[in-house]
Amino acid sequence: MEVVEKISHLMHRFHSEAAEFLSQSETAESFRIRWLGKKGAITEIFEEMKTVAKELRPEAGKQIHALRQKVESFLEAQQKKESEQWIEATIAARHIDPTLPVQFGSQGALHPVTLMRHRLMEIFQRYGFSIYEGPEIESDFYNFSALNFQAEHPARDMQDTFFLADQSTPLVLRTHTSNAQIHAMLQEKPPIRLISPGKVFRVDSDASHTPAFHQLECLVVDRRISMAHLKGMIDAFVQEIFGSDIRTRFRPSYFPFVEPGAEIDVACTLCRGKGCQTCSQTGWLEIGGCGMVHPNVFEAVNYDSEEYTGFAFGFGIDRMAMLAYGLPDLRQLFEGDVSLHRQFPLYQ
Amino acid sequence: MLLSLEWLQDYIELTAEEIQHLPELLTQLGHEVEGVTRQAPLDPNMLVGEILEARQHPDAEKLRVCTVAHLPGKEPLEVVCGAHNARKGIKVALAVPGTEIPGGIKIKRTKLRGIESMGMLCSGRELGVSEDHDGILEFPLEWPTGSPLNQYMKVGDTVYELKITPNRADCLSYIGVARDLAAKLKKPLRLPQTPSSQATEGRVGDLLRTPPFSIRISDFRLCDRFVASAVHNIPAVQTPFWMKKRLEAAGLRAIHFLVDLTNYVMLEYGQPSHAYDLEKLPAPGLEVSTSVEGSPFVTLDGKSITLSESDICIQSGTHTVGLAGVMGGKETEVTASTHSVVFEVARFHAKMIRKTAKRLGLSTEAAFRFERGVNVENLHVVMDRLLHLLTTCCTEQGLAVPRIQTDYTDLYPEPVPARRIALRLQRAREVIGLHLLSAETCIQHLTRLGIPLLDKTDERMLFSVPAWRADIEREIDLIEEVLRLEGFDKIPSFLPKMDLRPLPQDPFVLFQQRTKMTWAQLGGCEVITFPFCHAETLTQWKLTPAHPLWPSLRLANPINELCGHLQATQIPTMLKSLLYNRNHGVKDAKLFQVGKVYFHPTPAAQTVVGISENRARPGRSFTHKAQQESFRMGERTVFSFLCDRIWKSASWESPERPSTYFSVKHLLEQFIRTFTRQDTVYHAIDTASLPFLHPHAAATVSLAGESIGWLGELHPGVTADCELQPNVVACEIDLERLFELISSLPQKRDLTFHTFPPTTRDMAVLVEKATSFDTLADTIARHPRKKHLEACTLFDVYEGDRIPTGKKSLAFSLTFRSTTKTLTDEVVEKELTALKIWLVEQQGVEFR
Repeated sequence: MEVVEKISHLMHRFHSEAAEFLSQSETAESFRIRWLGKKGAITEIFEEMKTVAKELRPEAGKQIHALRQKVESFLEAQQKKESEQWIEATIAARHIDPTLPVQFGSQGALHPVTLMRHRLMEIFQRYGFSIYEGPEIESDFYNFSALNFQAEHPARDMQDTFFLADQSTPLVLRTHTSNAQIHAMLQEKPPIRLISPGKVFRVDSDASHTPAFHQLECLVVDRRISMAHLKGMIDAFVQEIFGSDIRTRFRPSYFPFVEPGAEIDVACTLCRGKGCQTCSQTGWLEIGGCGMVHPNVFEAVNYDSEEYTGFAFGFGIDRMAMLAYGLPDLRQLFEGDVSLHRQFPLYQ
Repeated sequence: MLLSLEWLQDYIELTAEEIQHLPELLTQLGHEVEGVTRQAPLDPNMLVGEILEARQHPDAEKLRVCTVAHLPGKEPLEVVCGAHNARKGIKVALAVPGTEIPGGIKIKRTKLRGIESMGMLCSGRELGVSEDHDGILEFPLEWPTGSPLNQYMKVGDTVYELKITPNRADCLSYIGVARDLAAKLKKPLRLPQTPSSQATEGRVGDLLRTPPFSIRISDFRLCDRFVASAVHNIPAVQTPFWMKKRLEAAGLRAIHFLVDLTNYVMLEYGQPSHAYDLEKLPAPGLEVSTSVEGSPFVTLDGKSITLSESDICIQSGTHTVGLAGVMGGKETEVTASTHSVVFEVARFHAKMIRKTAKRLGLSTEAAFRFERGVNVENLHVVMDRLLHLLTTCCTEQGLAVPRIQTDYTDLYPEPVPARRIALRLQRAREVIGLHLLSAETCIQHLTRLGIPLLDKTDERMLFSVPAWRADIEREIDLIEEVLRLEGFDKIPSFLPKMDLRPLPQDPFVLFQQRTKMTWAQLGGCEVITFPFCHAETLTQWKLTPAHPLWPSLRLANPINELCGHLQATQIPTMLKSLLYNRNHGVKDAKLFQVGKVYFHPTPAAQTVVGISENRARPGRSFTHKAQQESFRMGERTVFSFLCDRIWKSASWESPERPSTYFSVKHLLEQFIRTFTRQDTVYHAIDTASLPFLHPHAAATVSLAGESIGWLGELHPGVTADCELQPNVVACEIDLERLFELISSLPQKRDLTFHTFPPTTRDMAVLVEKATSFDTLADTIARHPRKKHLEACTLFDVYEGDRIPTGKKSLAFSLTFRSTTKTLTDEVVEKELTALKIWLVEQQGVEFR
């Protein structure tokens, strides 16, 4: 048979097979193999082209090409259709209720005190402060005498101190983070800007006191540091935590390691200074102590107390967390109450 | 200190407005007002009554029926009264029906045991003038019967509770507080006008006063000044009503006139004094010395105590008659029958007084003032005041004035010189940050405080500091005084300008922060527990005192016995939190804590099992030195994890999953891999090393060949003892060691970039049950002909019927890959076969 005839025959065959294909459940893939596969009809006819006379080749080639295009476009259409059907079927097969809950049993959380601690660390780091953690078990020198607490002075009664038993030299659990001042100054030369957050201990246990709690100490030493700088630094961080409308005030007080010394009050964060139950109608809340580093302290760490001045302040991180996050009971913080801690997002 | 407004006004004149702002004023001076008690004013219907007759109530043993005269021309009233002192002839406070007594109660007619009472006779407490409820108040007889009581009695006093800081001993007195206020308000201070007696100077060593009485001080370091005076023929003086009222307002109970007198003057001047009954003194003299160790002493309040040689005592003859500066003795106590006394006004060694008072637990008003320091320059003034008040009270009560020895003893061998302190204006300006502060302001403020200017140059002002301000020791203290009067609210607020040089940072601080954040993101809930523990309860944990996790540091003064030690592991205290959560409905708690454990500071100290040497953290760190010190002190930062038995509760997605060793190991791996790609290694424990863990479900954890902690399910015996169910899993990691290792591990630089596809093969291996995964994984890793094996993942562990008993099957998925070409099946098969042969040779495994 002439190639050309074969081609026209194939064309007929294609038409009838295509019609049949549509009514039967054959896949596009087996159709493709029969026509375009290695031993498919079109591949075979191409092989035969070698035997066709030269002058007939262009015409035959043209026809084969037409046939091939027809087959291909038919297949493409079929494959597309099949793929659409598959997608539809897949979609139909899966139907979820997007409101079904996921399990939050293992919701992780940080302790509110840690959240406040991290927040404070971030604030002070922006001002270029170093963070330094001092030891909790401390000698008399670092906790008291270098901080100008003289031996047998009633000032020592201001802090009920835990003593370690069976020690040849007295060791205490630090009563404040101020011990960090001494460690830092013995290691570094001015200028110093540091904060020291950490755990401190007092022999005290009632509704508003726990035997261990957390403080943050701040120390700045340089030439010509003044009390105005102390006020400026306290205003800055208090307003970052509680809002720019919160005022602060100093009340003269006494801490042996600072002179002049003051208590720091912030306008009540609940009533914003108007007077309420939390602030006992005073409009103020006491948050910590501060002052200018006592020259005796500088002398204890071999700093020149004429050349350098500095300020220090300290406050309770727990109290700060309670005020900022509205926690009513200090003791509740140390129960390990998972359901309480989980109420705070990790990034405040 | 309790401060009565009425009394305070003896020393300073205050306007109504100043009184209104008094709490603020005091607070601005550094004397925080912690409380204010205002007494209600008296109802004008309250009258002075006079008991004309008092007879026994016929039906009640404790009641009396009094006939009380009141308004002139009116019938006396019958009033039933229960007070023991209701008797004929005294003047009393009468509340007739309709009168309101403080507290808002209106007095009505009432029948008491059948007799109608037409009013009430009031006690001090009922009138709101004192706490006294022991009998009714008695007034001076000259107060006219029937006159309104508020004409004679000022009720409506205000009492401020002041917090006096330990440096301001001078303000433990009315005069001290008044002086501060006067300086602040720029007003004069009114001191009591007392005629001064003739004091004779004593001589060191012997000390002979007018016979028959002598004073001796064995060592002037114990007592640097002693003023004494003998008074004879003291009549039966009553404590005047005003004095009683003031003492009670200050929180002291009126006891006996002579005692009340010394207390009154103590509150006035801040100087304690003592009265000895002269007739009861065993010898005609007093001597200040240290006690003989072990000698007995009975205090005024009847307590028997044993003295030590560090106590200062007052001896008379061979008897101890007073514990100097703390409390007098029972033996020479003044009583209602006392006729002659010796007054003692002295200054004793502050630190010794403090030690004595602390050791004996005697926190008296006197000791409180002596240990803070009294004004040595003022003792004779106080003695004059005592004697003057004594005579005044006698005269007021129409009694004979007692015989006071005209000259008293004043032993003060070495008067303390006044301190001179220079103040530089420039320094004051710089420290406060007040650049407009003037020299005149400083001088005025200090002068008002009784700190006079001695001399002034361009550079400095020289001041003389009075004896009552022992707290002012150097220039900075003067600066504070100036600022205190100027007002702390005058301090401006601005930030310092500082060098931008970066300051040292401790990388471990950041590491702890990251640790907490990572664990919270892995589902852990951070807790903070108190680091105290009770050693006894650790026996429940099968620990013994020899174990490194047994607490080795004990507190000398714990809150209670259950908090007697410092913890060596955080797990037991965290277990309490676990139970708290379980009792509050959280059954799947996963608790973690970054905190300290404490151990005895010895070189071989261990915190976590397997770690026996201490090393400082690497790198140039701010804390390097402090770190070494904290080793000396024996504390270490650890990470601890404890989870309850339910890992994941049942949900619509999946059934409940219990916690296991592997649940926690999974998190631990995720945590450590946040910081390093170095593999952690787990070694099964031996029972003795961690006795509270399940011996077959626990391990020690190592990184880079060094132990960093442990992990495991709790021992069923422990969980049973602690009323837990099994499947509680705990883990503790030495965070400092972990950080040290992570920081020192070399950073991986030879990165591999994969360009060719991997080929995988599965391999199921039959081994003895006791063979660990690590053993096989190790053998595979050591295969000498290993060339393309990239990873070896365990995907199944099977122990059961389908394989021989005593064996288990481990199924691995092996990944082969070359960095230079696509591997052919042939190459892969060859390597796999070689590996299998190696495994058989090395471990005698079989293949399924």
